[in-house]
Amino acid sequence: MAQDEGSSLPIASMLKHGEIKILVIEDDKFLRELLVGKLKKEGYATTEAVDGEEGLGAAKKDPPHLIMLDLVLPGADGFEILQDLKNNPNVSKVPVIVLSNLGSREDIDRALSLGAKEFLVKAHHTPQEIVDTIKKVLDASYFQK
Amino acid sequence: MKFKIRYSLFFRFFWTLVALSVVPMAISAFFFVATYHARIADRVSQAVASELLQNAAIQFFLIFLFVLIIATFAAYLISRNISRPLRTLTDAARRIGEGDLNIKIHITRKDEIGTLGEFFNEMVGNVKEVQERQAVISQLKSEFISIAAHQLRTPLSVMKWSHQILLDGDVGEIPPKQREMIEKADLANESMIKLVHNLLDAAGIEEGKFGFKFEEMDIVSFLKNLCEQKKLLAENKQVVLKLGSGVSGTGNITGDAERLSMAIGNIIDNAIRYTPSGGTVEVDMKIEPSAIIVSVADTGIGISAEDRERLFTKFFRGASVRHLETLGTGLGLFIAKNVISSHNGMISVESEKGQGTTFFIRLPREHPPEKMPVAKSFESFVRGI
Repeated sequence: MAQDEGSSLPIASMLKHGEIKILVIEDDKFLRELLVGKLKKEGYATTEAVDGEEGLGAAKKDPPHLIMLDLVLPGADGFEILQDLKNNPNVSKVPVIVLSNLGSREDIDRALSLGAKEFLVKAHHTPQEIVDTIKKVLDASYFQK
Repeated sequence: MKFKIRYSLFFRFFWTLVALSVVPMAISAFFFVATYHARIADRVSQAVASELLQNAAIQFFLIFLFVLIIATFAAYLISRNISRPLRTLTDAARRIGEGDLNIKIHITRKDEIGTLGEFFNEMVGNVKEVQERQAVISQLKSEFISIAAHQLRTPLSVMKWSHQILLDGDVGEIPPKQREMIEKADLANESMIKLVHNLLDAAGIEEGKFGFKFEEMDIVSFLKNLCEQKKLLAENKQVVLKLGSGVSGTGNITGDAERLSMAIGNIIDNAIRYTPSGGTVEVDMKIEPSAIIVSVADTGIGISAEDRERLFTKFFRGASVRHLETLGTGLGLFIAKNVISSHNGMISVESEKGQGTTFFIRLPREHPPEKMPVAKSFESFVRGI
């Protein structure tokens, strides 16, 4: 059902050509590989970063269409990275989906008030659900304006 | 200024001083009149006597005016000397009451007021120290809980994602028998995820006791949405989930829709889970003048009288449920009860073994101001754990 919904979005044709770039900032190697594998299979071009600073650098160097951001990261945490992203005029418009295993309302409110589009708790969503959310966020950010 | 002017220090001093001066004046006047009558009145002429009397009256009046002026002045000086430092202390105490502990009052005097000031500063220092220590402890607790949640969930999400990617066939087709096994492993993993979630919930961390957001909400559309969400679960179990005739029109209450959806959702989940295939779960509501009563009735296995008593306690699972081998953490109804009581509501149950169970959730339509649900701050909540 979710996939049908996805293919009706205008994003579908862009996906076929691998034109949509997603930056995945995630320190857990295996989780990152699983997510990147799923995204590639769906037709996204992906960039990976293992910590916040690397992610920030990658985002500034080549602004992606969307950023998947973990919160608990070595070095600067995801909240700081999110703030830096939103303060940088080049990437402040790039939608950010927070994907973390933190999930208190305090954390969620904080991330959303800093400008994240969605907050997904890793353990509560399957890779497919995450992909569906990415599609929705991309569609809302780029195609419904 | 809260106190009335006639109770102020100035007026107390003023009246005291006036009284102190008027009393000797009155005594002197008394003696003067006495002397006048005894010695002077019959020795001088009528004209001289009345002149003397008039003079004396004017003298006393002028002295009285002078006393009033001096008393006003003196009372002002004395009261200012005492009330100024007192006002400083009052202001400081008020600010402390409002939670500002960055206060040090400057009183250099060596008298009783100076001592009071010293003790005051000392007390503020102590309170501040206690408060800072509390804040550190709260911070530690909240960090510990966040870390625990994160550490528990990370391996669980690794398993969940691996299972799902295998089941999605992303890394090659899998034979039916293996698929079945992965599905079972995933189901067990899901129950573990739910357990972590419920534990955090039961501790009130994620959805439970703090941070309620109370808003005006329509219970009718709320129940319709909720049943829509539970439809799939019911279909999988081949149980008919339907809305009763009472769910129509509008019914406004003040509540936290997200928490209520978890609480009533848990009850509907249970009803579906413990109703055999072919059974029915009916969600209905009734509007009473002061409250809305939501009911969830199933045609399931029922709950025995002794189990009913402990139904809403933490980790309790009914005897008849345990050997059904269903997944469950024993936290669902505990959480539901907490959420409902935070809404000043009540939850009750009627059941007949083998006949089915009906849960009644009573939600008041209006809250008296003193019982108006208030959101607890995270800080105050964590302190209470």
